[in-house]
Amino acid sequence: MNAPPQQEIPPLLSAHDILIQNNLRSNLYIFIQRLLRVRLASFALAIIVVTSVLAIFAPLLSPYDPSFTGPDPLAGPSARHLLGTDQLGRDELSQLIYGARITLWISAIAVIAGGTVGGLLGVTSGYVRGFFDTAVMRCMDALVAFPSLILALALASALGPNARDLVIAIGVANVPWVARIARSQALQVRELPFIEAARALGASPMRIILRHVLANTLSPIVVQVTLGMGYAVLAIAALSFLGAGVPPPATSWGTMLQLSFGLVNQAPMLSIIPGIAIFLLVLAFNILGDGLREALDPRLSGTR
Amino acid sequence: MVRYILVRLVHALPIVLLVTFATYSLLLMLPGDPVTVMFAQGGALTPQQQANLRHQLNLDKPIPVQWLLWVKDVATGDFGRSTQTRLPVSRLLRTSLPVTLQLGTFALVLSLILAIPAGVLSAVRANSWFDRIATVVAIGGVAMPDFFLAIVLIIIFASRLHWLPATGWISLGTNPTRALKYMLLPGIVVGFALAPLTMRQIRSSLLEVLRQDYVRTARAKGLREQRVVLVHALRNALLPTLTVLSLVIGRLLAGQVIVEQIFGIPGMGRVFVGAILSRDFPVVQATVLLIALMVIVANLAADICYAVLDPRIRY
Repeated sequence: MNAPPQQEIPPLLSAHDILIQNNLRSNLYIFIQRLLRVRLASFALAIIVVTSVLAIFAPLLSPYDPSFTGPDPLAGPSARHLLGTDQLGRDELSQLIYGARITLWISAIAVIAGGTVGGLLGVTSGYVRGFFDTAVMRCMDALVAFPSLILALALASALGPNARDLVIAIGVANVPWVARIARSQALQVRELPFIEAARALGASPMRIILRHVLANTLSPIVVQVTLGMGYAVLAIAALSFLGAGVPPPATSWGTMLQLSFGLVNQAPMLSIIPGIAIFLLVLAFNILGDGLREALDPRLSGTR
Repeated sequence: MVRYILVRLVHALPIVLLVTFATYSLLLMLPGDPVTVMFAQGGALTPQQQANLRHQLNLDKPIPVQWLLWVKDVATGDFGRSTQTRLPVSRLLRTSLPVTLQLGTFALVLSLILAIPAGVLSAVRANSWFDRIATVVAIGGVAMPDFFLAIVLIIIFASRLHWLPATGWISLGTNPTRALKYMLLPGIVVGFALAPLTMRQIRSSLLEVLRQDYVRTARAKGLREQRVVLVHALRNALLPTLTVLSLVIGRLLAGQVIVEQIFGIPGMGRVFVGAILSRDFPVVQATVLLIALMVIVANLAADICYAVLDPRIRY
């Protein structure tokens, strides 16, 4: 499952493919069609879209203010509180929706930032090679030695528990994985004839890296970033659960679990609901990542 | 072979140094003065006390010197003193590390008991119903937050069925049967998180091996299928599984951090989280460093075993 891609470079695109590629709309259409053909991936995409919509429009969609403490703590599901209330009488559903907002917000920024840094580092080292490559990759090896949760926890404790530092902590944990993949792709792409052609035309290394190499390593990076979203959601939840996540009054799914853990005997549902939310969102990102890998695979990327 | 091992060790050296530097620099990332942040709980310190502490902790020296002095101390087992309890960190580690190692070994064994038969069956009967279910469970297992699984298991087996204790820890030496009871739930949680990685790796490498000529030869000789798969093919298929070991060990240690916290197990993970929450930096550094070193050693061991076990690989 995690074996490094060891495949030969795919044949150059046929005239037909180039025709398709030039037409961005039909290209995108084919891609989406391919993605949806992986049945599970469309299911995963649906979960992510629904969660994102809930997160974006949280103030409009959530029935209560998530920190509003109502008069009926630990109430079961009812018409007034669809998922019941917690020990402080706060509406469970509203907390869940606002939790999605924080979770997606932090993980998206962290993963995109980490992916950008990792992607640029990896592509540059793969293209430049030599000492720069060795130095960068040794640093990545060292970073990988820290399990990402441990790294994020340690950084969160050094920087302080707030949203910005959570982004940094989770972003940094993402960098080495993206960098490694980007590098191995760049190593293949740099040997292709069109890179030589660009060099012969006098393009600067910077231009070649950004316009040509990066563009052709993008799909495995996108796959890794999607999978990274899953890890980020999990990490935010774990950090919040351990008390090193976003500080109150902000609600996150991990915090909800932590608060309800003490009540596991009286109100197990309070633990199960946010737990299922975390599980489903992580599952969705993982499945989407695998689906993307399959959809992007034939010809377009060159890895399996 | 000896040369290969030496080369690998030499390669690991800069990584170890970088890891120690990264660990040390956690202290430098603190916003503001480390001394005031670390000893904030003890009330205000006089400027003289601050200066003394700064001198004691080498914080008045240039950063590379601070780092080297720290590495020198760490190499002799001296991790400094906890800012909370003022006890030597090494004493804290001496009591907590065995607990973590014991639980870790148990979880690893559990995960292999789950993963190897499941992986073999999935490969032998690829695309069967068993394979599909195993795949779904594996995908679910990767996405399952370990703290959530732990809570679900506690709800079922501790608070509803009362079969197993929810929290606590007994050393294996004191009372093996009771110790096993305490270890079972946390072990299952961590083992279940690890199993998918190993299982999928075994499945894919066994599928590959089963296509090879020597397997066909073994079958053509008239050997029983069981023998072909379990003796001839599995041996080669298990080798690539070693390469996921460093991932597995990383996950194992991360999983233990969470599980020890939930189940109240006095291991290194719990010490680590406690130190994180109280910003007890000497303890954070010591535990983070130990965890990273364990991952590096596991990685190295996997590479060396691979070379020893597979005579085709000669570097």
